[in-house]
Amino acid sequence: MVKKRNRDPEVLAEAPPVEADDSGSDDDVDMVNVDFEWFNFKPDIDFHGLKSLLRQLFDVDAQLFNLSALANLILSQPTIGSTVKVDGEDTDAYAFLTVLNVHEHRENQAIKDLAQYLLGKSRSNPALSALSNLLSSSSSQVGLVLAERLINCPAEISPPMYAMLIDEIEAAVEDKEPYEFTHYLIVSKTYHEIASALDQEDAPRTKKSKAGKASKETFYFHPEDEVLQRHALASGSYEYTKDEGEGMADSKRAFQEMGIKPQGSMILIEASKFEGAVKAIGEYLSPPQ
Amino acid sequence: MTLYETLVTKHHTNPPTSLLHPLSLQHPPTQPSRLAALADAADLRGGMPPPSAYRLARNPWGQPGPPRVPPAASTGYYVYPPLPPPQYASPRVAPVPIPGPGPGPGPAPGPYRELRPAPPQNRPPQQPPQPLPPQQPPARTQFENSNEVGVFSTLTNSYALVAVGASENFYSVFEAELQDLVPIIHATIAGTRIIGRLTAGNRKGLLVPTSTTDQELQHLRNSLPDEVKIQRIEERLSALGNVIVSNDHVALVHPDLERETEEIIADVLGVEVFRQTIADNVLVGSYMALSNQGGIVHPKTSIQDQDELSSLLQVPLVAGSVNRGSSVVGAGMVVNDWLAVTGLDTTATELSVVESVFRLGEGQGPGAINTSLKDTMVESFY
Repeated sequence: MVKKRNRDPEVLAEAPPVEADDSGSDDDVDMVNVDFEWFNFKPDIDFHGLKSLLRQLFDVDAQLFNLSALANLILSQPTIGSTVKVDGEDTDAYAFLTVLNVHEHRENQAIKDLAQYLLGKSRSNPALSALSNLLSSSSSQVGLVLAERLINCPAEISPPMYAMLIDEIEAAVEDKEPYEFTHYLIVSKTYHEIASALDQEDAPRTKKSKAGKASKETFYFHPEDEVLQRHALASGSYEYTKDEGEGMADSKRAFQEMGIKPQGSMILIEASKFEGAVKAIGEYLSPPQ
Repeated sequence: MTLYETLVTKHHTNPPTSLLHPLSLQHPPTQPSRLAALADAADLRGGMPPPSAYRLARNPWGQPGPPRVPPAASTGYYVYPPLPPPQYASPRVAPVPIPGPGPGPGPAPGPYRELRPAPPQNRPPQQPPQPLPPQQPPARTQFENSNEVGVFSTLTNSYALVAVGASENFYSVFEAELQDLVPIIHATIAGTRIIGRLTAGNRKGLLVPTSTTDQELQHLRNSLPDEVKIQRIEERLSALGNVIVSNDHVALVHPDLERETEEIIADVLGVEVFRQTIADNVLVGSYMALSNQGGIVHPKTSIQDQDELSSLLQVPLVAGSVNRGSSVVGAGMVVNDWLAVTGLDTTATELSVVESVFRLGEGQGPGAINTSLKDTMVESFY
């Protein structure tokens, strides 16, 4: 017969005295010191990490694209964009940021699919009408900015990546490489909170519960998007094609009261304003002193 | 099969019961034959049982089976005095039915249930292999942009499990290669799609974790061929696909698996079970892809480990990767004796390794012995 272990400190004679639990201080929280390092893309290391981050970035719609080809394209321009790693250069990336020239690679199937997809999504939201004109015209040079990181990575790692991106683009343009953009299009993710439907299933359905179900407040997976939006020519969100319905938000509830319903978001910034936007990110997300 | 089955040929008219126990000889023969009467008169037999000839069945190893040893004396106490010792030992065998017309009864059940097959050196020579379906070059596919084919499917020589999902593309690859050969079953385990990591199976059986619902179990039972056993295992390490790798003869398992689980594996899958690690990793199912033809292990497996595993499994092994350098070969691909399915990112080099170690594709099948394989065969004769 197995006995339950007694965890009550009163009974255990040798138990150390329980310290007064002052939840206000963070001293007793286990701190993990992590050094984030920035690297260029390394084609023979980063493929898998990049691919899974891309899959996370496009969420459920990732299955619509050939992400292997997209990852290959990103790795084919190793001097543009950067990865963030914590265990040295030969490990998987925790975050990445890069820019792709949609016009230059328009013949590439991965970009073709992606541009078509973004064009379709921009038509679905009136706030993005400027974008749909831009993507369909051939004279514009749109730089597609793709950025994603593991969900628990601090947002502070992104300002340096944007700053470095600007420097890298500058250097590339000096070398007559095709990075002279007129606009930058940032593809990202936001979410709404949705109250769990599970509690209501048993209770009788009332009109009230339905009304308070979905708050229309938008939350950002990437806090920097909020800043970028203020400098944007156009910005807006769109529903995913492969949306998995109401139940999916509930499944992403993870001990919270509200479920999460992710959606795609696009931010279009003119090239002239991009630098100012990046500076604003740096001020907004300065690392803790 | 009773290896020591003894056939008795009758040479006299005595009832066969007289053979069973020496003590029963006191009963006079019901109708003594003339020969027996003469022998009695001449006192030739001196109270010995009537003559009989015994022939031991040859066992599959080609040697006559040893006579059965009388059971060891019991250490218990007898209320009655012990029986007189038998005059000779060999007739103390089970009653042998007189061979008559029609099929005889099946072999007598052994004294205990045999849980494991004999070790390789004691195994009977293998029957000529059944002709395999035509060998196919490895197929490449992906499941909703994931290359980890082995996560979303299980493939054996007698059935295939495929995750329920939006990607009919994935399913169609299996259908194209396996249609009419083995059943392809759409399944979930505990409501999830990661069935390849949660289940483990081979030609003879399928093991599912304790989280499998009754409906799922029933669905699998209804869809699997009747001769395939299915068993739900109460095991703490519930991702059975990660902790068990098996072909039709041998299974390697995680070193911390429960003792009962090990016995169930041996029983249901009909395999010999070894606790092993691969490249110092306990998740043997994740880091190895195995068929009856060969196996791929984690790319950083040392040569000594490969040799050891190879001699346990009795198949050639190679250290390699799939899906463009992914070391989780068990999760990255599925394989049986005539088909392998890998992720879409698998490079040409990786594919050719898969093709050769699992003997897939044209030019590797039995039909190729006289052509492409001839050179190597002649070499090995000298």
